[in-house]
Amino acid sequence: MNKLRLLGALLPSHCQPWQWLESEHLLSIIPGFRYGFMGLLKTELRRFQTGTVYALLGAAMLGATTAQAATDLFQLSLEELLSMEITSVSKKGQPLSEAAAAIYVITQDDIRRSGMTTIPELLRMVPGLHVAQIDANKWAISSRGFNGRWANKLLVLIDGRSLYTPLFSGVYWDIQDTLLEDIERIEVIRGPGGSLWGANAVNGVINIITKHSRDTQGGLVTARAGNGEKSASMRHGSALGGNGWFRAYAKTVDHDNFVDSNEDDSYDDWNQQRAGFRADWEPTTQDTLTLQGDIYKGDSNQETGYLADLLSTATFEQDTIKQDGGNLLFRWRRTLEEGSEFELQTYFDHAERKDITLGQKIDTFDLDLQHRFQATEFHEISWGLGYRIIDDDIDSTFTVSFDPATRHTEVYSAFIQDEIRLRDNLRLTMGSKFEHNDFTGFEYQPSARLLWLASQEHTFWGALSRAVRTPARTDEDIRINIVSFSSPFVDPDGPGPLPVGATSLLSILGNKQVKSEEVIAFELGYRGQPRSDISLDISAFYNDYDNLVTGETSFLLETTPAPDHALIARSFDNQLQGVSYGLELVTSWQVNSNWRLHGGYTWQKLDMKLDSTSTDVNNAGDREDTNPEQQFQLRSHWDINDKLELDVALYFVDSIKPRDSTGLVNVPSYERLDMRIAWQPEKNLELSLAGQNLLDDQHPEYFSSDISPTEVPRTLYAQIKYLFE
Amino acid sequence: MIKFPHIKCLLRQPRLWLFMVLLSCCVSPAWSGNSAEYQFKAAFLYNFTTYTEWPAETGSTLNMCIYGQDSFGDDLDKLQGKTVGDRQLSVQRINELNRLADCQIIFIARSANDELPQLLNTVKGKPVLTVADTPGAASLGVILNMGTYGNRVTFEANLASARSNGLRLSSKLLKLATQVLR
Repeated sequence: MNKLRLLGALLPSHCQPWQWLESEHLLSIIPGFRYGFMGLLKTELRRFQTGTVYALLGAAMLGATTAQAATDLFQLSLEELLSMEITSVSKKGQPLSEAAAAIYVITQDDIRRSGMTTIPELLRMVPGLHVAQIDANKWAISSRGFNGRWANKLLVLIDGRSLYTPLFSGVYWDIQDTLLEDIERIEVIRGPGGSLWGANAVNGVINIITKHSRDTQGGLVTARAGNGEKSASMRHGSALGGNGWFRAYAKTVDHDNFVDSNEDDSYDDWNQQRAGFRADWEPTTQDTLTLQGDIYKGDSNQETGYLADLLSTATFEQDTIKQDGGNLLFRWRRTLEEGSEFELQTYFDHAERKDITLGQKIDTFDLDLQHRFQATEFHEISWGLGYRIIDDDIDSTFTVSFDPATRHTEVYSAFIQDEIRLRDNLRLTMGSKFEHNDFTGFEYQPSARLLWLASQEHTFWGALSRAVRTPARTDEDIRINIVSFSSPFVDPDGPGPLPVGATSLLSILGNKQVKSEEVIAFELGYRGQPRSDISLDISAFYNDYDNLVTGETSFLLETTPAPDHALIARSFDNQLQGVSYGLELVTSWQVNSNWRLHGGYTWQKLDMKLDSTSTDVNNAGDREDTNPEQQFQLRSHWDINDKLELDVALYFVDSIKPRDSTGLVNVPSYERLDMRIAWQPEKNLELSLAGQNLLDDQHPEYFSSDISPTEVPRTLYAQIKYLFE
Repeated sequence: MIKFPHIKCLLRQPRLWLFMVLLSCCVSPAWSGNSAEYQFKAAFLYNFTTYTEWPAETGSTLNMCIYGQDSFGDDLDKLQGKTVGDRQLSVQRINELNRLADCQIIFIARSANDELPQLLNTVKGKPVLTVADTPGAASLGVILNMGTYGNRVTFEANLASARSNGLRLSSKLLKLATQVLR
C-alpha cells in the first residue's frame, strides 16, 4: 500500500489508486458482480437469436484469421510468403503473428479472388468492419461501431498518405482508388492505433500498401464489362538502369446506378479517370528512394438534400459532384545496421470537390520522420516526428457553409515506443504519440501492449490504450441549414415574439468549444492453431468513450437572412459517453492443397448514454441503432485445376436502423453471395466471370438523411486480364 | 452501463503513463531470438517439401538435414513431427558429408559453401531435395535456392537437378520461382 501511495503522489487527489482498492468498485469491475451474472447472460442470449446459426457455424468450423495472422509462418502458403516483406506491419516491421493487436491482412490473392472492384468493397472481407453502401458512390465504413456517411473514427492510409479529408476527418471513398492489381496488401488494425498513428485512429487503422515497382514490371491490360460497371486499365513497368524501377498506370471506370425501393433507377451513376506512377531507386544496398503520384478526375451523380434559401422547401436535388485532385509522395528509407531503420517521407495532396451544397479545395503538406533501433539487447526503440499543414478554401452555399471560408491549420507530432523483451516469450510494448493541433492544442495517445508466445501454437495478447478524435473543421466552423418550415413557435423560453406561422429554420452548427472525443480501450486476443491446417484468431474489446460529439438543441431568434425567424439550432457539443464491447472471431481452414476456407464472425454492442444536461434527441440511440450486432462471412477459394479457379463468398450483416430524412428506418439483415470463376488458358491471360449480390434483386444497406435512399442491385461482369513483356 | 470510474480516472493521467514508460526502461529481461529472415526461410523450406513429390519407395519419414552452421535456431524445430502428405518431418543438424545418406531434404548453409560441389556429388541421382540460400547455388546444381529481393524472400529452381534426382516439383512451385533452370 505504501508503494501505491508513493505512486499516488504523482496523481491528483481525486484520482488516488487506493480509493478503488478500498471501495466496492473493485468487484464492480467484473460485469457479473454488478448486474448478477446470470441476468446478464440471459439478456445477451436473448439478443443472440437472429444469428445463432451463423455463430455456431462460425465457431464450429470456420472463423477467421488470414493465414498471416496465424501463430506461425508455417501456416502461410507459398504465394503469401512471397508477397510478404520479411518485416511488415504498422510503422515498424514485425511478423504479424507477433503483433499485439487485432490485425487482419487482405493479400493480393484475396483481392484478385474476391471479384470486387473498388477499395471500399474489398474491406467487406475484413471481419469486424461494417461496410455498407449508401448509394452507388457513397459508403459508410467503420470498425467497432459509429458507422455512418460521416464516420470519423477510422484512419485510412495508402502508402503512408492519409486519405481522410481534414474537413470532417472521414473518407470520401469514391475517390480512393488505384490499380487493384498493384496493391500488395491491405492491413487493417481494429482498435486504437493512436499511439503510433496519431489522432483519428480511434477505432481502427486501414493501411493500403502498393507493390514495389520492381514487382510490377512489364505490361498489364484489364478490361471489364457488366451491368455494374465498365472499366479499362493499363499499366506498364520497366527498369531504370541496374537498380531503379518504374511503373505507370491509367484507368477509367464507368459505374452504373443503383435502384430505389420501387425498382426505378436512382440518380447515382459515376465515372472516374485516373493515372499515376511509382518509381523506386536503390542507389546502395541500404537506401531505397521512392517517388509516386496520382492524378484523378471524376463525376459522381447524386440526389442530395438541398435547401436553396430560407423561404424555400428542402428537396432532394439531382446533382453531379465534380472532383479532381492529385498527390505526390517522396520517401527515403535507409537500413542502418541490423535492426535499425530510418525513414523520411513527405507528400503533397490536392483535392477539389464541388456539388450543389458545397465546394472545397484542400491542400495538405506532410513531413514525417521515423527511426527505429535496438537500444540494448532487450529494448527496441522507435521514435518519430511529424508535421502537417492543411490549407482549405471553401465555397459555401445556403445549405452548407463554413465560417471562416478559408483556414490554415498545422499539426506537430512526435511518438516514441519501446518494445521490451521481458522474457524469451513475453514482450511488452509501451509508447505514446504526442501531438499539437490548432483545434484542441496538446493531445497524448499512449498504449501498452503485452504479447505472450505461450507455445508454438498459441499466442495471447492484451492491450490498454487511449486514443482521441480531434475536432475537424466541420466540428468548429460548419453550418448546415437542413429544413425551413412555417410553424407557430410556441416555446415559452424561446427567442421572443414571433407571430404564429413565422418561419423556422432547423440548422446544425459548429462549435469552437468542441473537445476531442476520447476512448480508453481494453483488448484481449488469442491466435493459434488448434490443428496444423486450421488457424484461429479471437479478439475481444471493451471501449469506454467520453466526450462523444452531440447536437445540442437551442432556440434563437435570427434576423439575417430576412425575414426574422426562429432558429432551431443543433450545436455540436461533447455530451455523450458510453461503452462498446464485442468479440471478433476469424479462422481459416486449408482443407487440402487446392481448397481454402476463410470465416469470420463478429458480435458487438454499444451502450450509449447522454449526459443529463444534454438536449440532443437522437444521438445516443442513433449510435446504437446503426450498429449491426452480428456479422458473419464465409469465403471459399478452390483451385479446380491448374487453370480454373472457383471462388464463393457469403456475407451476413445484421439489421440496423439508420436515420434517413423521414426518421429511423429499418434496414433488414441481409445475406450477400458473391461468386467468381476464372480461367487461365495461358500464363499471361486470365478470363473471369463474377457476380455480386446473387441472392436477391436488390437490398438496402444503409440510409443517410442527406441522400435519397437507394438499394444495392445484383451485378454481373466479365473480365479479361492480359500480361505482356 | 458498465463503468470503471477510478480506473478510467487513473488512465486519463498523463503523468501515470509517463511513469509507466520510464519504469519500463528499467526492466532488463533475458532474451535471445533468431532473425526474421530465417524465420521466413524456415517457412519456405517447409513449403518446398509440400510441393515436392518423392519417389513412392521413400520411407514414412522425411529427414530434413541442416548442413553447416544453423541460422534457423529453434524455429526449425517447430517442424519436428509435422506431416507432409503421409510422411513425417524430422529435423537433423549434420556436419559430416558421410552422414547425409538418410536425408531427403538437405539445406546447405552458407558456411558450408566450400563443400557444395562435393556435397552435390554425394547426393547426385538420389531422391534428395537440395536447398540453399547462396547466390548462384542453383546454377551449381542446388534444386531450390532462396534469395532476398528487396525486403522479400524469393527462390529459383533447377528443374534439371530435380529430375536427375528423381523428384517431381509441382507446377505451382515452378510458376512462383523467379527463374527455372531446365
